[in-house]
Amino acid sequence: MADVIVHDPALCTGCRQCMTACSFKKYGTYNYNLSLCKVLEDPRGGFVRVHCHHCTDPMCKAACPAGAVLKDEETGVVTIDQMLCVGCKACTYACPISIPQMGRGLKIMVKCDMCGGDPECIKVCSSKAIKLMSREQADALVSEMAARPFVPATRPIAGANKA
Amino acid sequence: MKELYPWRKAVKIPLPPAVKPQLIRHFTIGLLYPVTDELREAREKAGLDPVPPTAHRYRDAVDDIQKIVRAIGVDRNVGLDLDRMEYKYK
Amino acid sequence: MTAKYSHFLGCVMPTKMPWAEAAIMRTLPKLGVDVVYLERSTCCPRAGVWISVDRRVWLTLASFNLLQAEQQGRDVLVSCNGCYVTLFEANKVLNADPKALEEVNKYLGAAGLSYHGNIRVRHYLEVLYEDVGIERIRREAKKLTGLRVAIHPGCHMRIWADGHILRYFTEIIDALGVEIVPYGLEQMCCGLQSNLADREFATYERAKKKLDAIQETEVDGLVLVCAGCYDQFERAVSTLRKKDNYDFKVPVIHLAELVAVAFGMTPDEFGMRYMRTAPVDRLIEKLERITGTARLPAELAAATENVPR
Ligand code: SF4
Ligand code: SF4
Ligand code: SF4
Repeated sequence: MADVIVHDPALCTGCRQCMTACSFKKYGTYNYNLSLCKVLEDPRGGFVRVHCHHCTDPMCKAACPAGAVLKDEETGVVTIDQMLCVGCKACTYACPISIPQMGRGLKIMVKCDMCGGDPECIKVCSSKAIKLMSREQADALVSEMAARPFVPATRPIAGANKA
Repeated sequence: MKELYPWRKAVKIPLPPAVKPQLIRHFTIGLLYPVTDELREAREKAGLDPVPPTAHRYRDAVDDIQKIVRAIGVDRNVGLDLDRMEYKYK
Repeated sequence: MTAKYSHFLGCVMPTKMPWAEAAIMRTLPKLGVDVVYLERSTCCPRAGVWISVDRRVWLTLASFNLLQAEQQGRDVLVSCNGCYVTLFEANKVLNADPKALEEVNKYLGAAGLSYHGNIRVRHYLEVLYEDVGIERIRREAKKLTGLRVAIHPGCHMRIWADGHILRYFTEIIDALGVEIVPYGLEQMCCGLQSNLADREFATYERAKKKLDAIQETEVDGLVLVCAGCYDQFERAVSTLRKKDNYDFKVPVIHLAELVAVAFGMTPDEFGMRYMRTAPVDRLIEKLERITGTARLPAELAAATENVPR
């Protein structure tokens, strides 16, 4: 199984550079609405990034009546076949984080395809808040992130304000 | 054109729209912002040379940049006419 | 350390922040750093844009700037986080990948130039902290006690996993005796990058949120080192002033200005008063009051005597 993207809110600055890179890669323009990943404000402070997890057992695939959602057994990447999709949005409703979105132009669903294994979004993230890693590493990191006390990314910087 | 070929789509260049004017400035003066009179004055008051020692002062640096850009061929890829400094397609 | 540096100015610093340029170019020699201008420089160029549009342009135009320093036989000193990332990462790629270097040289050849990748790219903060030495700054800087500032480190300062540049930033401010006042949104991006996608979002969701929080703390200044962030704040402040009559009274200042004052320059020596986003008169008054009244212990005074003026 290939790698997944993990976002660390403690490092993210909310610059949305990943979103512009994604929309440029997919549509040749800078447009937040077209981006297949979203960086949103966490109501508790800081930012969360919503992107496809390429689930081991994808709900989007289970929900699709047209059999258009495919999971590549080798790479683990979940994609939507443009020729089979009928644009019913079942995948969007089924996905726990509503990743598939209506594409521009053709009325069919689009979603992150990991840029064919070389994610464009990761290349531009200066704060290294998004990383590509194996599922095992991702599991470990996510449990570690879940275990640490919630520190909004907007915390004062350590070492500051000793004066 | 549109009347003759109603189904023909406009050529779309692979460049984010917001970057287009920036590129023109980058390739004509070498940098994003020009030297203005206000700036000359402020630079002098700061004890600096009124024109910074960047491509603002060395015009040949811009010529070099243009040569390099032509060699890479990006100007063609993004439909930018370097001689007239305008985009061929909207 | 006998490193020699060429200071890469970038687009914004020479055209919008002459005070910062003057402060850097005059204080560093006093601190024993050999620094000259990196001449014939052009836009760094923006790596965030060019990595997606055409990677070759990023690498080639970055080497065009780097090779000016290489010809001078010097390392590159960068004080803008954005330019730092562009040049540092390009240099890293060109050093690790001979094929990329070869391709870059093919294009540079069109202008009769070539780059060999034999130099280092260093951040202004690294030079201050490592070359000049944080200990020396702690020892010799005139303490600007009583000055309260908010900080904006910026995204591109974070490219290192160990976060050392980020740490240097706060430690140097600390070493100058300046108090850092937290406002809760330090880590948030200034919004410069968002301008390319959505100007409203960049101004209201990013810049203005920070400005609001900072304004509330009633600090003397907002300290940054990144010219890109400065550009964004300046644009946001003037847009908000025109559109919403929003007045941001906190001056946006470069760390180099504080360093300059702490090492004995007066604000007028580097043109601090002109081309500002907000009037700096009160800040200058305060700085003069602090430096004028702060009395140094005898041995500290003796130590500062040796600094070449
Ligand atoms: S590029 Fe990185 S830091 Fe910026 S919003 Fe995306 S994940 Fe966050
Ligand atoms: S679209 Fe949603 S359900 Fe489908 S693989 Fe991605 S995260 Fe999982
Ligand atoms: S991997 Fe590619 S498609 Fe997926 S979010 Fe990143 S840039 Fe977008």
